[in-house]
Amino acid sequence: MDLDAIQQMFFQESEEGLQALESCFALCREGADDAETINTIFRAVHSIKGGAGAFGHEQLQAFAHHYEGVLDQVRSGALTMTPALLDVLLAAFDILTDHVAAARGERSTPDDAAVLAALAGAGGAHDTAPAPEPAPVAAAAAAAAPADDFDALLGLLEPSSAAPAPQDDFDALMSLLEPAATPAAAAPWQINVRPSGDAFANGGEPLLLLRELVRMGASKIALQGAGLPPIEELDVQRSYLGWSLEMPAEISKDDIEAVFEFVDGWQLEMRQEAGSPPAETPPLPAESESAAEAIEVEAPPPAPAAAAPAQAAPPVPVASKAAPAPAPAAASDGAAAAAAASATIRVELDKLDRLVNLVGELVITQAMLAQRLSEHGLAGSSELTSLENLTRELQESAMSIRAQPMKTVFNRVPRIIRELEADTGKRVRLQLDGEMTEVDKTVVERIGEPLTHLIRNAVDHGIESPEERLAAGKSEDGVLRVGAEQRSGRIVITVADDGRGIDRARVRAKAVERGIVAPDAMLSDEEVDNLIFAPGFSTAEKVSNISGRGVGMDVVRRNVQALGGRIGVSSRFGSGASFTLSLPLTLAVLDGMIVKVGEQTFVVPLGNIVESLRAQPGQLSHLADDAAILDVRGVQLPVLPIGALLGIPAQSDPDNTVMIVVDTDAGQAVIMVDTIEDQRQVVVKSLEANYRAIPGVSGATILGDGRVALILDVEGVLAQARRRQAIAA
Amino acid sequence: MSNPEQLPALLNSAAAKPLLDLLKERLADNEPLILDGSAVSQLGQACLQVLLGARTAAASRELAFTINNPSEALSTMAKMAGCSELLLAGEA
Repeated sequence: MDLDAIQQMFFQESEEGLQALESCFALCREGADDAETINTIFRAVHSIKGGAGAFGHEQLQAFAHHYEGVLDQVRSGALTMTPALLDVLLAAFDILTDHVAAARGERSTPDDAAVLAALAGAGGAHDTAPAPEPAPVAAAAAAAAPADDFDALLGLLEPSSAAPAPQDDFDALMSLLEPAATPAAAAPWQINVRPSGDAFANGGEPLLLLRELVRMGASKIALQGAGLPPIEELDVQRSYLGWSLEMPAEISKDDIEAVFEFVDGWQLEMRQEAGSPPAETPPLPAESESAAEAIEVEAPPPAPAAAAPAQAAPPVPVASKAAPAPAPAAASDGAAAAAAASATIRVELDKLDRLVNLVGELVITQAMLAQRLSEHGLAGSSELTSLENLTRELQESAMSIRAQPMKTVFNRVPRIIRELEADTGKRVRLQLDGEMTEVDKTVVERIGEPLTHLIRNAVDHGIESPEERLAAGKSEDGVLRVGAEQRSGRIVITVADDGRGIDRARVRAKAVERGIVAPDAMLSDEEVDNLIFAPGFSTAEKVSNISGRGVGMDVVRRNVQALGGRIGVSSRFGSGASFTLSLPLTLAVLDGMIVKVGEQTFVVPLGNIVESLRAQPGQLSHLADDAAILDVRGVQLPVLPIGALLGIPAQSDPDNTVMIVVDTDAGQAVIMVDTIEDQRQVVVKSLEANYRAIPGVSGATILGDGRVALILDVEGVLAQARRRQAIAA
Repeated sequence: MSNPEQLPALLNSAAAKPLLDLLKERLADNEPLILDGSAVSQLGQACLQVLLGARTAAASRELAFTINNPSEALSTMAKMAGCSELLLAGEA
């Protein structure tokens, strides 16, 4: 694995760490700031800091260092979590997120001065409090040394730091390297570490990690240079050295291991024994090809143990918050962590997509085989049924690998809300439901933008200011509910607020003013609500930088439709509005009805179909050449002649056609086709990728007999029909 | 080598091979290794290994090995790597 790949892994894990932070801060906001939550927050920030140091992301590391310092005080109980402190920590979390994005090259480095000052203020307040219990010297020095000292050290290995750092910085640094003047109360960690032979590959620099250990309080560093060959045989590409060192007992095993999280093949040996000097350490075992191995020998428990080495002393309890857990617990934690680590593997998305594509091809081939066998009278064979079942199961399994929880999208919502609260002065209580609802990765990736817009809209337009809310007899805090759930093979995402709701009179007036509807148009409440999705519609009194440019909701609808989804809105004036997005769970397969129009075969997505029927005499009324309406139990629905719309010769005799009632965002309509052939799951192939986009067609599929069938974009066909009618009028 | 050899500012992985070649050449000529570390701002493990190897080789040939005027950066990094005595106070 090259350095880039390892760095990508760091970024992925940082992303997961940030998500964990968001979840933990959500708990803190609810008052559940227990020790475990705070500890999780601390560890996540610490892990990001460690990786940032290993990959030379100095600004990220420096910021995380300050952040971690304050979190450490919270963790130790020296700082009490208050709403004001939580605000500072949340602001710092947002900046940390930006720093990670900057390290990934996705944005510029954020301006963190204000938040750093706030962190310093929060931490500084603690300085006036009674001094904490004495810590071991090295750790105390590490904690007390100004961050700039570390920054000076950070620069030493970097090409940009050609100029020597000021003398004072080095003195401070040197003081960090001094051995502890007095014996520590608890047994320090004795560590042997040896980089892998190819540790320099792809620009790797083992001293960066050693530097990180020093920064964490390492002392008594001794070089193990026995493996260094004679200079004639020295290969500058290979690493030959190793080190033994001592780490303060207060540093947890996980924190030490986190330093080596992103290196492969290193040997790491950790043990915690009182009074054993680290100078003479046994030779390390031969290099391993596996990832850095952590071998830990825990100090034995106080009770006599047969296997305990005679010189080993029991661990001495320390008052510090970072005291290691009792040995058995730590060991079981380690086992659990190891089990969890082996339970998942990371797979490149390309490989996964290739697998999904191959399974898609298999489904098509299986359908072709079934077709061929049926031509020879073997359609009902049990082997074919088994193959069909297995293929479907395989397809579902393959698709489930691509499924991701909506949590990855929902985790961004609290930050959006925080920013909106700051921008608008409104107060919003966020309620997230169904975070673990799984949906295809593509949907997860593309739903973020429409969802963000809906949320911004809800806070900007929907939820009132605290004063307005109080005047309306509501609580000061608005409530925004964002939820996801699976319903009938689709995912339904809801964004609901308890704000002012849609003012239909105003919406209608604005739509008339903008020429979107005629002044005398008869519109139902639902139709009025749907006007907000019309292109160019905006009711905002003034254009804000949040929303209100009138380009939002129609784009939201288009984005949702591009995902094969639909968006609806329901509202009660004065009580709030609720937007509902209904999306397919996956974009790769689709349940559809196979229909024929003339000589062409089409697939109508089942999600759109309400019912199918044959028109009875008198039920169909022709309005113009190709315009007609169908009376479905008293409701007049426009008939979409697919043949005419797509330029295909088709039946026009109502007695020989089938009417399919479809539901769209713009209301119900009827599709007129010649025959219905089948109903089945089809594998969706992109037309854009393989040919070009065609209006009214969302994709294509290959049928069992090898024919290509186009998948109808029902929304698009209806829009096309309406345009034709508008032009004809 | 009568005049001290100036060590470059960046003793990173890229500098290891040229440094190795230079020191091997001096050793082949039986010249004492007198180095000037005043300009060094960065020291990586690859160059550290070369310097350590050269020091051992010089000792076995009874040649001097000295780094004069080590910069703060060099001293700090050498100390951090646990080899300040070995490297900076070394002599044949």
